[in-house]
Amino acid sequence: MEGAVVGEPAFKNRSASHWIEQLPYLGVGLGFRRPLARQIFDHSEEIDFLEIISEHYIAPTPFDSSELHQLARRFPLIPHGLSLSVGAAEPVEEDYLRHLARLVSRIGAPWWSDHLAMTRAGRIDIGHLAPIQQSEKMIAVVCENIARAKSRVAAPFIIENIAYTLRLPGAQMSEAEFLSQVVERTDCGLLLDLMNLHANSRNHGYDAYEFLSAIPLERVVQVHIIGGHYSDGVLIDSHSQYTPEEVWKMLEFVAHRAKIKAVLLEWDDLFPDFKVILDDLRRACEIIDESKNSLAERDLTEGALK
Amino acid sequence: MSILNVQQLLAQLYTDEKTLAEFLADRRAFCKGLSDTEASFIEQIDGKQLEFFARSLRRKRASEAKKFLTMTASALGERFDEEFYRYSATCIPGGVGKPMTDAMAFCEYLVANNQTTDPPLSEIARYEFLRHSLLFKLTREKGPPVVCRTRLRKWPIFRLARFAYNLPALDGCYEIRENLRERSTLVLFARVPGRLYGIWYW
Repeated sequence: MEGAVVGEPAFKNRSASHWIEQLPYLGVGLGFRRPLARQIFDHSEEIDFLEIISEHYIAPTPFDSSELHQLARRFPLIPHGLSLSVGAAEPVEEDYLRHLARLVSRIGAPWWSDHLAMTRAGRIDIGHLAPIQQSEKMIAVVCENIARAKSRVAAPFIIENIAYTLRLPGAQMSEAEFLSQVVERTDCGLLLDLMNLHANSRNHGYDAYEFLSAIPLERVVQVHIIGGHYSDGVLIDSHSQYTPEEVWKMLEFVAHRAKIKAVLLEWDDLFPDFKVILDDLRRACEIIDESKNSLAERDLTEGALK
Repeated sequence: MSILNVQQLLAQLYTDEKTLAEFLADRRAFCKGLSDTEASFIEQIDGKQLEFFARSLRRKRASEAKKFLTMTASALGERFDEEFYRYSATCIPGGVGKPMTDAMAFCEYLVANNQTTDPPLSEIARYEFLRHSLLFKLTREKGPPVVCRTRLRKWPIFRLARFAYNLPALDGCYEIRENLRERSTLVLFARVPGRLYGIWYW
């Protein structure tokens, strides 16, 4: 696959919004998947929060409702959507937003998230996350959709960088700049998926750390970690393999530079022994704990300089 | 042509094998009728990456639907993906709950296409369709493309059906072909509070 340009974002002002600092610290959590339900409840002491797929609960069956109720009683829940389609050049669906707003308020979510992607165009539902062209026009489209979504849902919105195997032609800026412009202009938070970044950097030949240095890390609210697999020489974010060392290292890098509110282990398939999942949660927790000291020192130094 | 039109064209390339084949066979012809900017954008798309992406979407669609079709998946075995891809060319799921929509529409497709060639498969698919239809109603919007949706049902809360095989005894079974026996069975599917469904049979 062809190379990619990673440049500094055009904006200069990188002050994080006050609201991000005010968000609660959740800790380390897991994506709720039904095959893991029993173990999740059995080990609830070791899991700080759960991320739920919004679409599973916005038109819930009685079973889904009762499940959601039980989950909300035991864990802080973060709704994570797949269908907002902020990258489509048409307004975000009002019905979807109404249901989502109800879900967010029902579970008292501190924030909610979706992807920087297109999932539908007109009547065609793509069924998954498709990349969008990195252009000025598309920034305008995305910003309008995010503004609409933010105005309908009470909790703060954070947006996730996607993994893409298809690079659309005609990019006017780097992926890092595009993402930065979107979060800055819409004043939303960042859900940084480090496996997606790792996969993109491998598949499209760029340096993940240059990317991390070019985005406003102070806007990172949540981080996703997990592993993927190779298919026909392409690294896929299948969420079905152990988190690779490269991703753990990136987590350390980000944790020492941003006050992350939540780290999520995003297993979707081929679940390992739950003990392994718990070990990974502990490892993520240790990384966050260690980084807190260095972040506190940095704050003290900056305070003294001021 | 607007951005939306270009995006619709992209969405078609991602989801419709025929459109993708036309594009890959002759890009110039495919781009006829587009403005110069749009044609240049579409023409520059990397064919290999596009094919890979479209294939991964199809694979994902099949694996998501499979999760709701334990018995059908077991009956089809390695043929599942092949049959699913054939079905997937006939409709696109829309709205929320796409995997369930695909699961139900795929069952309908299998029932319609296997009644004479593979009656047990047709019965298994009908059984799983009826079980899911306790909670969801499948609808179709005429196309192209044909868009299928499911919505939550309030009624009915039970369904009665006769099957030619001992299917309820095998509900959730992973080796269904090996254990399937011809036996006329009357099945009552009903909603049970706190559970997805309940099944009684005679």
